[in-house]
Amino acid sequence: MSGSDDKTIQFRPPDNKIPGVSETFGERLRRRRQELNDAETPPALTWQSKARNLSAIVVESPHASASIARKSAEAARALEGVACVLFASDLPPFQNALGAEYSSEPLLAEDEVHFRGQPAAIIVATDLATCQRAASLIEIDYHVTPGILTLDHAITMSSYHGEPKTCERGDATRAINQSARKLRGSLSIAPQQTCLEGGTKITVRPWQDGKGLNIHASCLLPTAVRSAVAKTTDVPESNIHIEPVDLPGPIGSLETEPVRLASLAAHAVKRCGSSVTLHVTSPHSPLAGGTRHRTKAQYEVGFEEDGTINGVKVDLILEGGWYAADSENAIDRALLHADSVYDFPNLSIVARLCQTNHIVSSSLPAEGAAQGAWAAEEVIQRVAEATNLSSRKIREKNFYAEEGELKTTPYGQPIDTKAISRVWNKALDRSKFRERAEAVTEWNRKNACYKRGIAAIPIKFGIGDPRSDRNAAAAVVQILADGSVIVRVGLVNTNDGLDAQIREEVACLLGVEEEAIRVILNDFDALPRATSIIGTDASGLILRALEDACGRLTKRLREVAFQLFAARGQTEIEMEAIRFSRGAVGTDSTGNAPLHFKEVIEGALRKRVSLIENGYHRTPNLWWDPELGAGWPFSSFTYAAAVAEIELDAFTGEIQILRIDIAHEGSPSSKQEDRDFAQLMRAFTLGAGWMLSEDTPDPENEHGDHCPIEERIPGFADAPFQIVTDRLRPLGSPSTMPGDPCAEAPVLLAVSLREALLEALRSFGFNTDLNIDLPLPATPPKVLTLLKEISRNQSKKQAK
Amino acid sequence: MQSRFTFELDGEDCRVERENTHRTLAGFLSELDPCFAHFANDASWRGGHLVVLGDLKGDRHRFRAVDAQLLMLPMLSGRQVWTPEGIRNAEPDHPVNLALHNGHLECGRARGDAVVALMFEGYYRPDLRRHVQSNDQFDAIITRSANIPAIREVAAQVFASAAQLRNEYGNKVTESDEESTERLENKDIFEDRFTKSLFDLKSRAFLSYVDDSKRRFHQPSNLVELLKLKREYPDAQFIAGGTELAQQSGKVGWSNLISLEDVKELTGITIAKDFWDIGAAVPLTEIAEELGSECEAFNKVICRFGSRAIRNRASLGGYLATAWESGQLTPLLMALQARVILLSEEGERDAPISNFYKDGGGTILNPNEVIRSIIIPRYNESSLSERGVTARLCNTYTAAPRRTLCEPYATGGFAVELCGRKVSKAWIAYSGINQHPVRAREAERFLAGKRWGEKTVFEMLPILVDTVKVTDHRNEIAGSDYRKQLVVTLFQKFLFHHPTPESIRPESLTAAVDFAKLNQPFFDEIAD
Repeated sequence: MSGSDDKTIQFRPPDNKIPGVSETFGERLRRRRQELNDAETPPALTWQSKARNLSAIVVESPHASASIARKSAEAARALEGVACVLFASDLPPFQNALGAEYSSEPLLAEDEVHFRGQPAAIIVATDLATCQRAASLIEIDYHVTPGILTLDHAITMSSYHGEPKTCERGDATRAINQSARKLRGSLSIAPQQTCLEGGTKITVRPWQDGKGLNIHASCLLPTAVRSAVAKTTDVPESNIHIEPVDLPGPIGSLETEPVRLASLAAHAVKRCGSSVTLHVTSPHSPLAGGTRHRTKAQYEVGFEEDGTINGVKVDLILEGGWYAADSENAIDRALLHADSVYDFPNLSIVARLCQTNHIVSSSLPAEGAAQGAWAAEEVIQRVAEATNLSSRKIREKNFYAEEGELKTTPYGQPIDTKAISRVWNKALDRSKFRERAEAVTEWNRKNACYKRGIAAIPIKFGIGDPRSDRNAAAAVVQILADGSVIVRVGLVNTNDGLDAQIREEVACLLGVEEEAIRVILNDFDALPRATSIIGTDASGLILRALEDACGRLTKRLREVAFQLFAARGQTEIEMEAIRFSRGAVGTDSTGNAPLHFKEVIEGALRKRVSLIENGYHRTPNLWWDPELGAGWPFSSFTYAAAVAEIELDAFTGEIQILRIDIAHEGSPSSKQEDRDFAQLMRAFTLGAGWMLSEDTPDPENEHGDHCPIEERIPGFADAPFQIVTDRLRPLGSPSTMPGDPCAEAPVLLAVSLREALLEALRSFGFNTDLNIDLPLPATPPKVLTLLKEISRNQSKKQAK
Repeated sequence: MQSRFTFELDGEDCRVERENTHRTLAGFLSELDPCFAHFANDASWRGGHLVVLGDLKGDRHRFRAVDAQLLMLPMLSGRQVWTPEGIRNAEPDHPVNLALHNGHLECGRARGDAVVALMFEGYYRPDLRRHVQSNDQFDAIITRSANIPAIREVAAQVFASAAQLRNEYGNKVTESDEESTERLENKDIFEDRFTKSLFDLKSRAFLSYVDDSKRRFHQPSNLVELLKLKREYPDAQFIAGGTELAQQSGKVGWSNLISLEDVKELTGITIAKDFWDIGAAVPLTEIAEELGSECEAFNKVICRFGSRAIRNRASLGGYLATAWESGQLTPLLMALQARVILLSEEGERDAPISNFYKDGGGTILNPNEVIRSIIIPRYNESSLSERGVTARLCNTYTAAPRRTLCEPYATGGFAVELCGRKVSKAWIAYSGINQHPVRAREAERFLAGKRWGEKTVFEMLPILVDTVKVTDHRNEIAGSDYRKQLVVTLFQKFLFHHPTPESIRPESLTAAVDFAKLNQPFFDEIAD
């Protein structure tokens, strides 16, 4: 590298001396600069290099835990068509890290690998086939070390990320000890995998004469990708343009994984000066998709014979992989939902994040919240079994109920007790639960081999993100000379109908026809902040930001209209009375001829009134202190209840969902009923797959060979025969209403399927004496194995 | 030989010249226009990139939803292709477009396209009458994003409007006393832009296409030409629907391909008194349409095979030739005592389906042979009574991770012939448990002569467990323990549903009809 080139490298200021390293920071810096000077000079950016599009692949670690004894890429680099092969040592100093928010995970493994699939090198060549040939020539000697692959192993080894988080109410230990009955148990929740369309491919191009980068990627939070790439490549964020791909749904992409791959591709672009498309070709590669957090919930509960629960202790253990990134949010949400809708007077929740030799777990809709709430449902289920009462009665006995005093969660956020009883009663009434439960009992009495089960589940779900900085959104509204409107929103398009909702809202706020509004969702250059579509009340935030922008625009336009009316001689009109509706501007008074919206815009242009406005909204008063275990982390709660009826085929273990009844709180806008329903079905299907069919590889399976997840997602023909929904208007004042209550909450309702399956199994003679746990997900092989076990144990019992 | 041909794409002639013989329609479209760029992504796992194929076969005009990734370009010669984009633009007021425009389906671009193609096909399907059939029509939709109840609702409206048109036409025909036996498919009832161009289609001409690499694609029209071509190009690969071979397109370099699609001897179904003779190249959808009403088990198992788009192309001959170890159809074919007719220049030979598969995988098919047809006996009362059989119980059961478009865990096909209450002969066959479909011959021998009932079956089960070998090679799909259990439980299921010839129990889907009125017609006026 020449001296002038040296100036382009902007090193971060030395912040500390690295412990255990004898050379000083300055020495180390000088040595690395010298090493870089000795390395090959990056090619100049020419039109030929810009026109070239190279392919790249990542050389992944085949081991979950190993140290790297030797690595060599001599043969690979010599192969014709190979542009470069990069190891960790080939990256500029301090740029081999994703940054503190990603646990400073190295982009390329240095001396050790900590999960299968960890990138050890990146190969850039003229085409994919050459990359793959070069990969076979790379020599990396691993010394395999025993890794921590399961949650149980991590618990035994006390391998945790950070300190446990706790949240308490009363004295759970004493309450349990003083109870007439107590029991303890555990629930293992397998992770669910993402299923990405179109494979994993990220293209990074040199931009603005090589000063910037253009990233084409499928990602949930493009600004996170932009920030990470900017940090790791020392390119200002303003010089990075990101073009996200439209997603087929909120689970069509990932949050953390694209950050890693885009950063690697960006380094390849900086080294080669050409466009680079990074491919993850193997469907079994951990880099190709993400998984939810594997969870183990250990609980202890003290209760009375009538089912009143006195005290509960829940220990939620989530798998955070080696480098915990998204997991802080998941663990918070698990902790904050572990009370579900139950008023356990004495409750102690502890949530920990295990460190295992797996790739970091990813966020999917309702991540953490589902695991926490399901642990509470498991407690109820076990108490029902122990007391021989119906789980419906146990639930009703322990609900947060109206007693005059304000009920709050263990962390202090108020609960709407009326809303719980409202959705619960609505679901039971609409589904005719009692009659159908009797019919199911009758069916099971007559049918030996096809058993049915029916169960009802209530849920509460916190809207918003406990990371309060995420609960904000921006939007830009721009009115053009002909009165048409452009709305820019920093949100990835997931084809979920949000653009239609935005159009509808803006049409209402500005009083223009919907056809005159163009909504641009994927605009991350004009908007400083992207809104995450998972974990936040995305549409609620954006709609309020639009309200803010449109409010200011209409205020200005009202002044213009007032002046135009005055010019016409209509001086009696009050400014506040001017309304904007369907392309006309006027008052409710019939005597005044309205102005066309276009006329007002022309007037505004003449008067040099700005027709662009940046709207911003942040949810007020949010706070969450994990150390105190207290706060107001959610803008509000949404409540729902579901009744599920299933049929189990005892010959194969297959389950058919017969009917689902859901009573839920919809979004405040009555016009959004269809969108709410679509989101509800999308989220429920996701939960149903997690509950019943989407098996994941055994964590101890080193090679990850497994039937692809694509073959396990429920298909069209697996959908419930009948779905009945009741959309209720949220209670409370509009300012506290959730904007997007159906995007994630219905995932939690899928636990009703598990409860119904347990009911069906019970009719085969399943009871607690046999000590059999229903696995989650309950796939046909697991259910049939369970039935065999039940039959064997019952035979043994009868023999005794 | 010709190096160009044409097909109709979205209502306009599309000339294909010097394109690779193995090129798929999806690959071709993805480079044709930016609006088709998404066809470049692999979508096979989620039902594929669906388009609609307009075709004239014999005197029947029909639209079929097919996967563009599984169609090789030369197969399209003389045919009509409608992409979802084309359907939307060609006639925005078409009932499918109107219904989908109003419906809130929220399935994303790719899934939305699949819904358009499948609903379009369904609109013109004369046999789509009942709500329960929606599940089969849309089973190519595999996604976490679709609003399935909304699709069902919209489909019900669309299919009801088509049924109403058919009904009105049927009434008109009755009033005018026209020839009522004529198929509705042969008449343009709809008289819209799409059917008009479909009915303008002419029979396909013989195609012999060669690409720049001198790879040939032949489309012979009869067996003589077919065998002649095979002699001329001994290395040529036969191709029927292409659902299996097209998946390997670009990975395997066949030099020449000989299409069986237009060979008239291979594309018909002969219904004789005692048997069905099914041409090897007949698509599964057509087989289900012809045989389904008489052999319900066949209809049931075909409905769980692949997806609607795959069944519209996959042929029975192609299915057998690929020797799919876990294919759902083979056990039933074995239980039905089907025979395979193999043909080569040396002559014809006939093999029972049970002997068609080799131990350890593969088939007895020689490289120069082609499957001519599959003969399935018809078990009517007269044919059974001739042999002294009073009843024949036959059915098939599959266990799978989901209903369609997946690799089943295992399938069992069973049949027992009864003389009074005694079993005169039994057939027990499985797929998915071994490297090839198997018969449980010892268990079959045990049943012969015994009284059909629970007691006999429970005595027979240990033999089944001991003699049917379950291998470990599919453990990533399902563990061998589970598949071993299925060997027993699938037969128990057969016994449960067929305890006696007089009291056959309906399966759970039928039993659950009360939940969704699934069995009701889309349009009430339709007479059964």
